[in-house]
Amino acid sequence: MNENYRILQIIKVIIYIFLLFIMAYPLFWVVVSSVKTNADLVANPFGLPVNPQFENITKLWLEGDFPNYFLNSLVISIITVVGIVSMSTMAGYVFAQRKGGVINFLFIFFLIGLMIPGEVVIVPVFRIIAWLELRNTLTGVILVYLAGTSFSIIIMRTYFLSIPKEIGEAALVDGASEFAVFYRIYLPLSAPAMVTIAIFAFFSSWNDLLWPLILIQDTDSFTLQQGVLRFQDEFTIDWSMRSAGLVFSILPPLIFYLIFNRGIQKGLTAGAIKI
Amino acid sequence: MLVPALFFYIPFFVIPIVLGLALSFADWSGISGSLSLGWNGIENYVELANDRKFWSSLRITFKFVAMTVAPILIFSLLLSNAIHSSLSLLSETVKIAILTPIAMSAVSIGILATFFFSPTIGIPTLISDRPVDIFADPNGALVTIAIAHIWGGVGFSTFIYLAGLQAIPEVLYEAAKIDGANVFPRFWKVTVPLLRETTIINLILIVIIAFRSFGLIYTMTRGGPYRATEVLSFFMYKQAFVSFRMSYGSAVAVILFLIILALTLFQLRATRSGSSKFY
Repeated sequence: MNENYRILQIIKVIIYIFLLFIMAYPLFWVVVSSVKTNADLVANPFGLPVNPQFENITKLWLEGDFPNYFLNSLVISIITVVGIVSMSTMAGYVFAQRKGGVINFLFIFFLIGLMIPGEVVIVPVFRIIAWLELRNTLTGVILVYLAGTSFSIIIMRTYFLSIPKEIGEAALVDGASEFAVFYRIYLPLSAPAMVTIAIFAFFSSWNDLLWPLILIQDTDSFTLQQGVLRFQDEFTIDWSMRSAGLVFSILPPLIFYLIFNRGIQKGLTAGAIKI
Repeated sequence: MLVPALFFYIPFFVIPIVLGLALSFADWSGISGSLSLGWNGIENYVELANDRKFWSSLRITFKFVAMTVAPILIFSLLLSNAIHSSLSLLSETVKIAILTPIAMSAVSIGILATFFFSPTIGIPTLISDRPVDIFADPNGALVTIAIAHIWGGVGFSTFIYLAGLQAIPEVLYEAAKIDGANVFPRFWKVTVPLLRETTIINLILIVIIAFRSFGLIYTMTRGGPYRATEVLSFFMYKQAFVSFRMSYGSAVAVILFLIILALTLFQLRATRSGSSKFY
């Protein structure tokens, strides 16, 4: 039995290392490729760089449109995250606190959003954005993203329902206004849920291709995803330059995730102590 | 406090649903700029039923779903158990590596795959001296996209399974241990049955995500070679925004919606009926 257990442990570790290799190697590879010269990369695609150089990266940030794409995506994502988090926090609170005909109807109304994927409405949304003369603007894309609150409203509502009602009632008895109860008691307690929906909103807005592809044709308003795709056509032969572009399109959501992943844990423990 | 959310939700989601349904029964090209619709009844749907490109894209979509679902489900089940059962530093590292693709866009994953399978600098250079272009082969292209999709999708499913595993009471494992159950019986008799509901949710999510796959195909092949990778969502995009047949594209969107709705309703039924069976 003990012998068996040890063999199983060894098999497990081998599988771990194998899976780690498959999942992590492509990422490692793209980072390494970005600091190679193109000649080096073509001659020796899988090895380590002979002379690591940062020419690609400086060229990426100092010449060409890359900083512009990056900035466009950043503006879109930040406004989307702030908008989604604030709107769904308020709506989720209402759905958690109040019951009744109209409220229930509106909740189901938002639930529909979960069942219908965005692709289904590309044609009519394109038409509405064109009618508003918001094609080729960041605003057009942001408006579409801000409509996608269903998922985060449900997350917030569930979280608010898990907070004991007595806390809010006690504050009301002490003379706090209804808004103060929301703002000063429920909001700080719901930090972990807010972080969760912020991460999802950031990922989906930063990584989306479909909506920019349809709504933005003017290269000045291109998002990073479109920019990276354009890079593919521009630098067909220069693989190391393309790798550099790829690295910087992957980094922001990854950093966002790693920072706020710790935030989730902190939020959870802090919340528990306060209760 | 509901007003802000409704302010965006109604004009950019609810109204478009109604409009999209209406458009699918109309004839509107989208380039004329006129807002008037010419109604033409179910003509778009009749045309769809006779469109060989539509049926071929539907077949490719099902093929793609069939190729990706089982590997993602199996890999994520094994991975989540491996991560969950030990809290060593190694499993923490594996966890981060596996979850990283969740943060990546379809475009990034697609480009990464293009690099890896490229005849100039990719894996083919290791195998053969002649340049081998997998993307030129109709079957090879779809398989490459499927591999990229699996690589990118395993992380999310593992995440869902991890949540499911955390809900299984530790006592059950201890009881099984006392009864003399080894690692494998514990996995098959405790973990797998108790994950039934999570598996159904995961399965449906994986199928829905595979059905909606667009970014990878746009990045890697744009539907080629010879439409061999033109899945339903890409067919819809092409009809509406490349051929500018917006009404026809809307009809495809309605079909896509009906498939996904059926899957969602099936998921709701399946998870409701079996929720309290095991406790």
